Amino acid sequence: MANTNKKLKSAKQIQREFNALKLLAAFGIGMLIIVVVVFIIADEPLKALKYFFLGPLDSVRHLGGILENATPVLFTGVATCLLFAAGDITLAGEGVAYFGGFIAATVAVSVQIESKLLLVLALLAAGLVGGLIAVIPVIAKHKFHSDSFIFSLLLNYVLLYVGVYVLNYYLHDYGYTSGVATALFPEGAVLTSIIKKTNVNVGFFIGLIFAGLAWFFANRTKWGYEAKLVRQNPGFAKYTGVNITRISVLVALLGGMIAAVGGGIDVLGKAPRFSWVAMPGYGWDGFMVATLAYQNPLLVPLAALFLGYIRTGAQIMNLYSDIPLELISAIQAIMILMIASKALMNNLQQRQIERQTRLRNERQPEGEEATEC
Amino acid sequence: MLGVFFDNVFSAGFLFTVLRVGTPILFASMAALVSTKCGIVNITIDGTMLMSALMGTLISAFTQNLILGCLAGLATGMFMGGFLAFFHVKMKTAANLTGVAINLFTSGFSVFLCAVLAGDKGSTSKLQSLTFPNVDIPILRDIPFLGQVLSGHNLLTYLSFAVVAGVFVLIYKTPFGLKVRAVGENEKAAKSVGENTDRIKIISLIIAGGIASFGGMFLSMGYVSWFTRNMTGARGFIGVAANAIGHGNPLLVTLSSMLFAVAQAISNSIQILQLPSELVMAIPYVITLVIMVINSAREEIQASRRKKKNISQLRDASV
Repeated sequence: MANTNKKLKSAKQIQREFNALKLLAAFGIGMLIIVVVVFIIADEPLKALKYFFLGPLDSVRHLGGILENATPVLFTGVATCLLFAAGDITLAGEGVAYFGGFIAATVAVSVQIESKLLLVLALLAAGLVGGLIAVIPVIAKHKFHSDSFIFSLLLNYVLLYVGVYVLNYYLHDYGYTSGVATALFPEGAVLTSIIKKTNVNVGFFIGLIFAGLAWFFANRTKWGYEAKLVRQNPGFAKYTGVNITRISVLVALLGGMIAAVGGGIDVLGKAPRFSWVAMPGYGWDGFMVATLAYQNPLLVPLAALFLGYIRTGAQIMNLYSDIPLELISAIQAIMILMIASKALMNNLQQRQIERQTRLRNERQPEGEEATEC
Repeated sequence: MLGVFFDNVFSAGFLFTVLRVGTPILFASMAALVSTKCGIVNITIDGTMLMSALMGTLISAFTQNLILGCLAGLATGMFMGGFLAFFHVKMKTAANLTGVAINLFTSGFSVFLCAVLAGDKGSTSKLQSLTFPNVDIPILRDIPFLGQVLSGHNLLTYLSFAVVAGVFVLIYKTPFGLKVRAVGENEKAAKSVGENTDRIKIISLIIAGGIASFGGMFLSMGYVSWFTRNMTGARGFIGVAANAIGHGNPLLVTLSSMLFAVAQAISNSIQILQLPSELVMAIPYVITLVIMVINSAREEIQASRRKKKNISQLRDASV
């Protein structure tokens, strides 16, 4: 047989290959749409495309822009991996990222400490509050059997209105006239830039550490394993004695903390004041990035950097040509939908798996167990 | 001070405002109702409204024909419903992820289209777009209090109540509605008796998209006469929430939509009282959350009671 020399693949390997293929196809189609749309609309399409694809790489400032755009999404992406780890679908990441920013800002302007301790305190407070809030929809689901998706969606609005209320009535600095904002953050609370000419701070690297920790938690700890079990087969998990509520609350707590710290880092790193009166949208982006990364925390930084890259490219293109920045959100959404399509290339994948299994059965002498993954 | 408050809240003008701000929410909640009846949590309603609001405005401005604008908005809504149906039903993406992605798509794409076709990223106020007319109802308008509350609304406000009736008839009084409910309650059972469940879901989602489109068009072609970016202001999500409180019962869903409308109207109009409008806006969400928890906890208790009863009956029967 000609095929016997080839290495046989397990079903899992084939699935992984097809996932990568889907990712590539989604990237390809996403980029193709951008090119086509730019050619239809722009006055100088080649110039616009150059700004989009090469702009982000042409200077330290633009490279820094990639990191800046990637940082909040990195946090919410990792957070989403954890929030979804035990099979609960919640949008708490969005509200918690907002509230984390709010809490961090509140601590920064109202606690009187003259050192960087204030920064640490602000982020810790944000993480703690965020974690506790993210737990609420999960408890509602497991104790009262409410739908955690809708519950978290509604909870986000409550958080937003409470935050805006406190900002308007208690934190608003009346010396600031162009909008509603807190007083200037004291120096001790600001995350300073570590690369000249950019706003890049340690935030991205803290995010990387969180990604590593989240991976370790999911793949190398008892709880991570239990969460996986609950996600894949809650019935089985229950009968093997896993405390489903406890493990769900634990992952929500951790996920909420990370999202909130991300929000806090964004606020303290970017603006001299806090002025969010609407959701920043980081939770939705985190949802996207986690999907792009197939919910693997280690791949989230790559997905976040990719998002940062196309956002920065779009910002530059928007600045120098007539293509609106918002095109990117539409492209991003189409890519996500393609990646999330279980049915896309499913037949092909199934046929491949069946063929490999047949080959393996032919090659294996009878009586010997086929060992798989 | 409370007197001022009550004078405000129980005036005809206030109730008129409630019906007005309630219109888009009512459309959204009916769209959500149709979607949940076939078992799909549809959060794309917000994005669908946004796209319809834009397309209705643009086409009415370009053709100077209200009916064409309305048809364009409706077609856009149905297309968005079909878009969700294609990915969720045919490509088997998770409904909530598809919803998130489609909302992201619409929030970007609407601004993009607005910039390309209307020449302004923020709004279409440069264009001469058309609006749906306000309607005075002949005899009703002469009745003192009632006339002030019920007459003189936008055409779409009246349509929204017609849609409530229509949805009720569709879901509870037609064979198609029965099939929709069957799919929503137990898809496998519906499949096993030979129903084409995919087709039923697709049609339901397209209908939901069509209903939602009027909510969007009301905003840009009635409430105001232009489109602005993200003008839905989460009304689509509020509709989903109203449907969650009303538990899929058209009457209760209508009432809960009006609850949200009352909160919005209060937060718009009680500056005199100096009540923080943000907290007033938060109240309906808090109420929804509490009702949701109570509802589902109660159902759970009922279900477990029923189970116990069944078991004891079985035991009695076997003895």
